[in-house]
Amino acid sequence: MDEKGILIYLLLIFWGLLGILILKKSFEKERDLKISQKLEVFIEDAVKKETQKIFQEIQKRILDEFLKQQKEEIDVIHRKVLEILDQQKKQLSDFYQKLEEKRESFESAIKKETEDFIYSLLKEKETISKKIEQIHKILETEKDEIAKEMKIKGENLIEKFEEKISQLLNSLFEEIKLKISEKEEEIENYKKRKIAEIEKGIYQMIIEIAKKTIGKSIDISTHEKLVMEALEKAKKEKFF
Amino acid sequence: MEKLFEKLANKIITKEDLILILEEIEIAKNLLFQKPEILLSEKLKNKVSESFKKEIENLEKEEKYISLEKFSEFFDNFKEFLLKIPIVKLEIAFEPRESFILEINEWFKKNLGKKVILDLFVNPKIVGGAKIEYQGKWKDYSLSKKIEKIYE
Repeated sequence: MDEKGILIYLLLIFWGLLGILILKKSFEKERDLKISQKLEVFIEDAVKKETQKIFQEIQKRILDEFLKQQKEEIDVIHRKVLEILDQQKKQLSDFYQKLEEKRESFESAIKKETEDFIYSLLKEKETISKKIEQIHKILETEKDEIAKEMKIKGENLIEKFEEKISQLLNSLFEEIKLKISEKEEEIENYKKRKIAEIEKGIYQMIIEIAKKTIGKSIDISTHEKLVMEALEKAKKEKFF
Repeated sequence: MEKLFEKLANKIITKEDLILILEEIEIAKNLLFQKPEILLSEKLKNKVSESFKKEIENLEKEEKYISLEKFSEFFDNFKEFLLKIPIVKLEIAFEPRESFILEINEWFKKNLGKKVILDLFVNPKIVGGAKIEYQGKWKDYSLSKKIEKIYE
């Protein structure tokens, strides 16, 4: 039973008792006026006390019921929490176990790889040592021959180098010669051009001077004669 | 009328003369219909050259040019005649005397057999002789050209 139900139940009891009391009072008034005032008060008090006692008892019962329910619920929650904790603990333990397993397998793999690598290195070292030894032996036997060959090759190389240098220098000289002759030609052309320009300028000056000198020395009658000659010449050439 | 035009045109020697006479014709034409009761020669007094005024007076003396319409027609025809005369451009090195201009004019009359208008241009740089331009062609007969040829 929940709190609301209990409250409704208590209210119903209270209203019931109150109704009985009212009915009783009215009934007593009607039936017998002889009942004394004292008795009335006594009954009333007794009813009040009884009601209060019942009320307190009900209140106590409700409270007990509520506490009991709460306790049960707390117990249930507590149990659930413990279950969850157990589960978590178990999962954690499983995880750690797996992790440990992984670590062990990884360590063993690394160890194996390292061993293999060292082994291969040692093997390679042995092979290289053998090769070095072989080369050493070959060198010992062919030392003189190699030195001779190296000398010949060196001499050839120097010869070729000298030849190349000589070729390079020759082509360089040729190029320089060509450039010089080009420049000389350019200079010559420039000189010719400039001389021609100067000559032209000189002739121009001479012409101008001649024109001025002749122009000044000609009198009016000569001018007139020259014009008439020009007209005659034009006529001869059938200009008109 | 052609002969009259030729007679009047004989007095026009240079291009300047031609321009002057064309301007005088325009003035005469403008005054022609103003105050018709006054003679044109009177109206032209101090507005055109004396020679042009005299020619108008001569025309007025001949009775056939007395009407204004006849005069107007005469001016138009004369203007047309003058503009048809060929022009000879001469570039010479000196300032020509009047007598020399007339001499050239006569030379053209004699040698070309027709009237020409002389357009004279003085340029001392040609030294002597002349540069001639006629009907769109031109030729250099100057001393300047001859000197340049020597030094070529």
